[in-house]
Amino acid sequence: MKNFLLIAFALSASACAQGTEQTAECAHYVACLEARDEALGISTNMDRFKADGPCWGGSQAGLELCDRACVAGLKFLQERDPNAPEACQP
Amino acid sequence: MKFRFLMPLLLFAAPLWSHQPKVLNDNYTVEGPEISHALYGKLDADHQRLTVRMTFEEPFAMPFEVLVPHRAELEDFRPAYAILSAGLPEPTAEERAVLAEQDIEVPDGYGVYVENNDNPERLVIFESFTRRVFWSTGPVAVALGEGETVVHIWATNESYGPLTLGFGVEEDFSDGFGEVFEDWETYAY
Repeated sequence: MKNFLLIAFALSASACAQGTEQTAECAHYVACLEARDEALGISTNMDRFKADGPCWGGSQAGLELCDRACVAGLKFLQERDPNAPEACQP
Repeated sequence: MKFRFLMPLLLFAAPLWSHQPKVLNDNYTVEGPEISHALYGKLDADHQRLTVRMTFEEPFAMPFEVLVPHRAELEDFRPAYAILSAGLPEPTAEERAVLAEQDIEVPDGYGVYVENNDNPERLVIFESFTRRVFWSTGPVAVALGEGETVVHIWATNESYGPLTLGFGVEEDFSDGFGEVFEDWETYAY
């Protein structure tokens, strides 16, 4: 039982590592989508990636997931989306 | 017994960062797709493709990834997937060929994101819900259009095994942890 509690504490403590700020890649991704929305006349719900979104302020794993997703999402838009505006470019 | 030992640990840790877990059958419709989900499914000779449908009332950008347990016997299991949505770019000729091979039709006005999962270098992550290590296709943020989005996941090279489709960010565990625990050995190994 003692070992179990120690393991639970260690794992939970490691999971609490905080990532608190929006990454540059996600700021770029949000700017890209906002410019794309304006060009297309649509309004995309991208709240999770914004500076005050749930991607930030949670665990390190969550921050890394969002950051990696933004990197790949930007690359996809740059390479494939004919509507990707200048704000999406590197 | 093993499950009972793990339960308090999982309940304590899961809300920190994880997706709403559900078992993924052949043709699955997601309710509340704006909430993050982890759909646990299996591909085998009799179930070579899984299809997931979700509907958005507005254009919606969120991450997707497919995970495979990091186990030696699954090293060659590289499930591919495609997202079909009105907000995505038109498929390339190569993508059209890949989708045609799977008998996947792209509806008029729809575009695609296709992940062939054939990159020799794969991302390895520690997943906090199952507390296990997985290979990942790598998360990608995709700007989906309003209306129905369809995700197809299929086996490649006649390699089969368990997988997880993860998507979304916002968490909501008010629906509990679902039936994944009942088949814990399959999905978490």
